[in-house]
Amino acid sequence: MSPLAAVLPTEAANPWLSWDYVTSNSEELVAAGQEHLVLTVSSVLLAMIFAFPLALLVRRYRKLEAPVLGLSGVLYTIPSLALISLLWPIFGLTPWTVIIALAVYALLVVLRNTVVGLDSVSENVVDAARGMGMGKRQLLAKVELPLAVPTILAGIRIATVSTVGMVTIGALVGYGGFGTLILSGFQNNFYHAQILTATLCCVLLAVMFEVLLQIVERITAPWARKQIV
Amino acid sequence: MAAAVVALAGCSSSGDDAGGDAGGEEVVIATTNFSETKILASMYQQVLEANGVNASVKELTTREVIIPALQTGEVQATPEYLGSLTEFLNKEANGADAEQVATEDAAATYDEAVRLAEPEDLTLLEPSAAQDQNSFAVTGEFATANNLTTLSDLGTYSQESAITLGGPPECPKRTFCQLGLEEIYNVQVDSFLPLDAGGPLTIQALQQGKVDTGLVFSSSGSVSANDLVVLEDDQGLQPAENILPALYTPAVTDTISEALDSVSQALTTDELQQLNAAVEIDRQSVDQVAEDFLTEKGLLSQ
Amino acid sequence: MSVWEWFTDPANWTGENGIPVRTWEQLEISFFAMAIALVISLPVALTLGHLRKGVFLATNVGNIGRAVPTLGVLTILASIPEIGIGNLAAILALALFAIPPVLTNTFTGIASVDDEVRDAANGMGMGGFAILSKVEVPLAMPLIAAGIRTATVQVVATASLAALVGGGGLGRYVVDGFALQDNTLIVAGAILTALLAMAAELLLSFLQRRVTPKGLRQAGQAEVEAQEIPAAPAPA
Repeated sequence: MSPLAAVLPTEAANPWLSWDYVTSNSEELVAAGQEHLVLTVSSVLLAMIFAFPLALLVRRYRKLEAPVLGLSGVLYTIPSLALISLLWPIFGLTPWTVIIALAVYALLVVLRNTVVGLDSVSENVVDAARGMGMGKRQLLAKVELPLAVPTILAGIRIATVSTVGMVTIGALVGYGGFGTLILSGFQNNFYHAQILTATLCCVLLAVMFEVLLQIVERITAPWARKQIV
Repeated sequence: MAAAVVALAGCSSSGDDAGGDAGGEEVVIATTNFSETKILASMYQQVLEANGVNASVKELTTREVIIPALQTGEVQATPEYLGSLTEFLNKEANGADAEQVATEDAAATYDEAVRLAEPEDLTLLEPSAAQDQNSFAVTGEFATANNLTTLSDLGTYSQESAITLGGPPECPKRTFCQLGLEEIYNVQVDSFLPLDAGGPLTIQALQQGKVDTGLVFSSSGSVSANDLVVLEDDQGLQPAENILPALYTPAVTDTISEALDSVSQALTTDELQQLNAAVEIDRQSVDQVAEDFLTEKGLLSQ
Repeated sequence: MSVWEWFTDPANWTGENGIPVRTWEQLEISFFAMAIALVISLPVALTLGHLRKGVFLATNVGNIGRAVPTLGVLTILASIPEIGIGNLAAILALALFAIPPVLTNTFTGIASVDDEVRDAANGMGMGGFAILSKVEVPLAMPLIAAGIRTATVQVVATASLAALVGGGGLGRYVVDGFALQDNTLIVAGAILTALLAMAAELLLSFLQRRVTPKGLRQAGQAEVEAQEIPAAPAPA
């Protein structure tokens, strides 16, 4: 039972929680969940494809750091509502409209964590590696990247979990996963069970990602359980 | 990722699915997220499937999103409303200030709509007798207290105390909405609150007294369920809003037209209201409601 | 109409749908949302952080809180007759949305104050409240301020969603633009919201520097950026 249920007023005809709704609409819920999953994963992957080269570029040409991080910070202040509305005339009713918009938001988190992670490798370690005769590329591949993995993974996890919540807004252009159910439940004379079930499913999906990615972090970098999450 | 996205896109683009049958290209039926159009879209889908045409439903939001997608063939069919669609096409073709061409006369409006739709790659099938007009509603309490039954009454009442009006954001610029109320009924509008087209926002705003009058759809189940009174359009402000299927012309086949025509012919305004109530009040599933109706009318058997 | 023409048209600067009114509404919604979020999350986080209890709660509220779809919360609140449509639903939904970053950062900031420092303060005869207010809070200030800054910027950007449930604010332009098929209006709304969010960012990062104790300032900036819970990009 959600703690919410205790607080919210329920009416006989339109309860907030209804197992009946879940069983009779299971197909719809599963389909929405699959769409939600694909949209989330695609957006974060797309963000990563751009974030990693950008992070390397920024580290190579330090002058670019402020403008690149600044620009991704600006993109981040554009309301998702507006971004999706602006992208749909370009990409039409394809999932790309939503994926690109969400990737824009995920980009900042992944990019910033990658840069911070690479930068935080201590000078001593870098010096030692140089002393061993490592070139720049070797240094990156063998020392900096492995040491930065926990921070980078944390960035990916945070971006993923946030994206799960944001996918819902894609309902405006027909690709919103559980968001489509939320919005149509609202339109359908406040279909409480549908709105709340879809919202809870969304949170559940995020919890799954959170746990899964934390496990990945633990496996890939068992030495680095920091106090800060 | 690319594969996943392509798979997802595959739901909406014409199907090159492995399971593609002799029915050929998949017909994607777009719908708004309003129950009524969802029911209609589900009927279209089921009746097409029954006639061997591969069909699916894509839930979108508004006409502004759906019609452009229909014109480019991103989707192939959608349930539409005669008057509103005619004016939408009219504005597209002749600019936002174009003179209104949709009227109370359904036949004349249909001719006009077909003329506007043809060059846009849109095919409009014969309108159904069933209608769902834009209407203006007040709460039962407000109607009784001020003795209102018609829009003319509202015009008279508003001379004393100008009303607050709620409707979709485009309402102040639309003849069917605020402009028509002001011109035809001389309604004095004190302020306009942008809400939605007959959706939950408008209904709540009415109940909470945030607006005196709101735009609703006459056959919506939530109008009666929420104790709202529709004011009679005694001077004929609203055009005919018969339901008709709009199709992407290159996708039209005889089988498709005949199947969809059979739905239009079977449907009446009364039945439409009952179907809406079944979904919006009794919380039956859209597909089930659509299927029951089609079965009762014998449209699912070959 | 081009976006430039829209911005220079005097008609868009007056009346209830004018830029000043809509901007003010956006600020109002954001202000009340933040006020509620702070009133709820600060006392909880300060207490838990001081007692070093509830790590699980504080971090998981932060992590999972990001995933609660604001759209869902907004429609749920708007469906409750006592709250209804309009700005109130938006304020409450945004407050809920602002709690995680403030809660997590504040808790982490307080809880990670060195034990030796606390022992020293204790040795000087300070009580629990004095340690919290005179030692822990000043030392945790960079993180607390960063959390508030992140939350505020997100709230300002996300307040646009109020328009989806019949509220005001700059989202009005975006939602109306969507309904009217008017891209100029959508772009204008996006620009105004982004500008407002950036202004909030600048103002708060200035304030953040001001409230950071002098001794922490030097190391301050880089350190905070590095260990800050990276901003949840959730303008949804």
